[in-house]
Amino acid sequence: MLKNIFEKNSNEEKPQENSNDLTSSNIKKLLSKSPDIKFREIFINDDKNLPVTMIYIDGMTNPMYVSDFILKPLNQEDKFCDVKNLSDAYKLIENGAIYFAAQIKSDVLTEVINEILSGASVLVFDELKRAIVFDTKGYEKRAIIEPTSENVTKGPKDSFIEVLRVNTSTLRAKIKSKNLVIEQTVVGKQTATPVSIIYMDNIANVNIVNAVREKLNGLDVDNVLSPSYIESALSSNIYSVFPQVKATERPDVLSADLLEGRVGVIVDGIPLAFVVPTTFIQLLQAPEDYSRNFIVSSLVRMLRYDLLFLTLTLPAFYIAVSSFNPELLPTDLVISIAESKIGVPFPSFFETLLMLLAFEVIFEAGLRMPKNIGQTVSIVGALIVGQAAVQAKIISPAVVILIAFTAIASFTMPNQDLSNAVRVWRFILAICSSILGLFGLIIGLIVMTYNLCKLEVYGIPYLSPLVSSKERILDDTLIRFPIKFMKLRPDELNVKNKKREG
Amino acid sequence: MKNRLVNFIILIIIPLIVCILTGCETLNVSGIEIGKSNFIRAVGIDKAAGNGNIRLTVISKKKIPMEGSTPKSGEEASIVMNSEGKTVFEAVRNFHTFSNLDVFWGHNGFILISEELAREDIMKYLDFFTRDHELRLNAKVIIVKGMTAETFIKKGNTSSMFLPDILNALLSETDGISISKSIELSEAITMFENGVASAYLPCAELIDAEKKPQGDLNKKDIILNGFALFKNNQLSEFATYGAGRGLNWITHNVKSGIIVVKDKTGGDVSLEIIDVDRKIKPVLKNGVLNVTVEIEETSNLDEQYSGEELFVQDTLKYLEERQNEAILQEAQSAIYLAQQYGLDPFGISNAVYHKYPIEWEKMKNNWEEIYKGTEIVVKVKSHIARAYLFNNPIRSSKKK
Repeated sequence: MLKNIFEKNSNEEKPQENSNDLTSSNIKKLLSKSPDIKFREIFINDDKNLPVTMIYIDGMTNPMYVSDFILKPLNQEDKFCDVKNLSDAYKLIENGAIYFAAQIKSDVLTEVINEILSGASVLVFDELKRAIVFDTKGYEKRAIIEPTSENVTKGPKDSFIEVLRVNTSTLRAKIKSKNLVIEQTVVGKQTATPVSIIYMDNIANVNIVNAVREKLNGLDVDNVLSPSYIESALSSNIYSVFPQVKATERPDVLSADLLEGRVGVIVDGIPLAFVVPTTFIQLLQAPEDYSRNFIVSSLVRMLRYDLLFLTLTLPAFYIAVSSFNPELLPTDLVISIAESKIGVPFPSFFETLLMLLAFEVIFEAGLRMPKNIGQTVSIVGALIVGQAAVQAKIISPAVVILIAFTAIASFTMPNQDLSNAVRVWRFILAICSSILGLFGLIIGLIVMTYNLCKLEVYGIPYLSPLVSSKERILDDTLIRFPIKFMKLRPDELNVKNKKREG
Repeated sequence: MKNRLVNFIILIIIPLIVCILTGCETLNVSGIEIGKSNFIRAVGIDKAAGNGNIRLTVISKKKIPMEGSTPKSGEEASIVMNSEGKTVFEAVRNFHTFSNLDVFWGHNGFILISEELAREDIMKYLDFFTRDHELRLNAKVIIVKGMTAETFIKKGNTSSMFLPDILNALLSETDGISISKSIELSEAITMFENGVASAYLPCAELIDAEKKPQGDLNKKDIILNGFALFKNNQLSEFATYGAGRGLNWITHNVKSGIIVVKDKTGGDVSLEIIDVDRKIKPVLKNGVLNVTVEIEETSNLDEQYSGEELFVQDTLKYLEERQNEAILQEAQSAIYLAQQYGLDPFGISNAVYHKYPIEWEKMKNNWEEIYKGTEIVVKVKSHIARAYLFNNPIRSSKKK
């Protein structure tokens, strides 16, 4: 039966036609199962000798472009009156009988099919086995709105959207330089997603650009629909929980990184830009830092470093001092914590781990729920259950305060990926210190620091410039210097041009 | 990549092996539990009556549950426990035989030693407190004068005032009158370990209280009164009141205080000590040691009873002279007391050693004899700087 079908199909084929030839029937064979792909046979100037096939995807093209700028001239343009055969017509169109800014000619079947699938309209000349491709993309896209997760009160309010070309144009509008290179490649065996590699030709280190290009070209996946596909491909060590690729939804952040000599990657369909190589320090720099007075932003940044340390170690430290080393706390504090624990059946470490887990549950539930129900979850979870648990003496109030502070501190991290990494390590440290107290906490911290120190992204130490031997460490790390002192680009990137103003 | 992962795993495993696999005993990971501990705040050491054992008295705060109301009036907010043992450590461990909570010593702030034990040998009983890791070296050591530490704790602790809190307040306020001084365990040990100079510790006693709430009728008030002076780890004499401050003058520990002198009309004048400097100058001439203690003091006039205008040069000079006399008297009373017993809490031996290190080698063996015969001259130079908001007394305008 199966064999018959094949035989029947092969009988239908015209014997002289090769399946790789660029003809409308070949395209039809590959694409005709989907009704949204439209095939329209038309005759130029109503001449039965001049048949061409118009192919496009309904919904992805702008119908006005197709009818007004392609079909109408084919039928009504006077120039076509003198045309005798198809090759004349082809030459005429090629030379501008149809006004269209983005038109290319092609005689490769796969190339034409890719163009159709990305929203172009194609005029196929069966006899010539050639086609002319018009870029008539016109599908619905989201407007450029304010960034949702990287807000600033003072500064640009535009963000990336899902359409690659819009994103690259936003970037071009910010950096009007001939040196801004936007290379294009295609990733994803099935999705064939366009991906742009963006860098400043006169600044970026060639080795990094080459490494990024190699990694993207060597990427063997069928799709790049989620950020994680690209992030893991661009990461140097996928077993580390710390983010090695900075994802941003702000074109100004990407621009600043490009001008420092980093390389950006934008994927069609993902409203984010990925920046490599990313160092630990970058994840703690908020866009707001550069829009405020340097004294204010330096103080805020130092606070952020403190909060990073607190949110990482506070639960573990509480476990250590409450069940191993209570002599470390002031006497009055110990007694008030001890009083708050009267009647609570669980040991401190269990209580703390329980609350950490409860916080993660509330956090996760809040993410999953629709926006308006999400608030209900946090109110029920945090206020009602929390209050009841304290009153029923299942949890001591000290732990509730502690975990709440830890959670709020973790929300001050400018980068959500860093915040997630800290969540993981917070648990590891809490478990370490519930086994061995302060000793365990220190062992955990040593292991974490070891992990961070070992990490290299594109040959650059992850902790640079903190681990650098150069004296320019403080430029833009723990504090932010005034702009006039930040004359040089980051040392660790080994850029072509080290001076910012040159 | 693989190498890195292996390193990472090794780094986790090594500490685990070190901590877990070093013995066949089951691993006790629980540590202590803060909610189930009794935090000892002060400990008193006595000799038990009859059998010669050590008797410890500890005091800790009774923990009040968050939602519970404050304790009823009359009910004590503290727990006082006693325990006996052949040694201090045995007595400490004996608390575990009856206490319902873990006894935790990490927050012990005060070590109270009875006069009786201090006269015997104080170092014997402090050894445990310096050696054990759970105890703090910054606990304050206080000698209880004239009674057992147990009585002191039981009578000094009232329903409204928690004894360690009172002691804390008293010790932190010692600078206000400069009669005594707070001394931590580590400091005390350093003093006792110094071979020649004598150690001194603050001394506390109970006095009769004026008014006490119902239920506290047999309670008394605590005062810190001067110092207990030691000779070879044994208490030999107390320097109280003026002699206490006298000691502080010479050891440069007077921070503030009030000196009351009489002006020309016989009215009292209060002078507040603002700034003190002192120098000990030993002079060795022809094998004879003479020591000069120079005290320089600045004070402010803070109160006067008479209506006289005191801010006149002559009057000020007169007041300064009276002030010199008062300071001199206090210092000399301390020196007299110390020399009488052959005690050197002032650090004079130290000053001699630093100035004459070679001669000191010869003097060191019969230092006590030399010290007893040495003339210690005190020179006081004082100065009244200002009189705060106004110079003349408020009554002076009426007089005119």
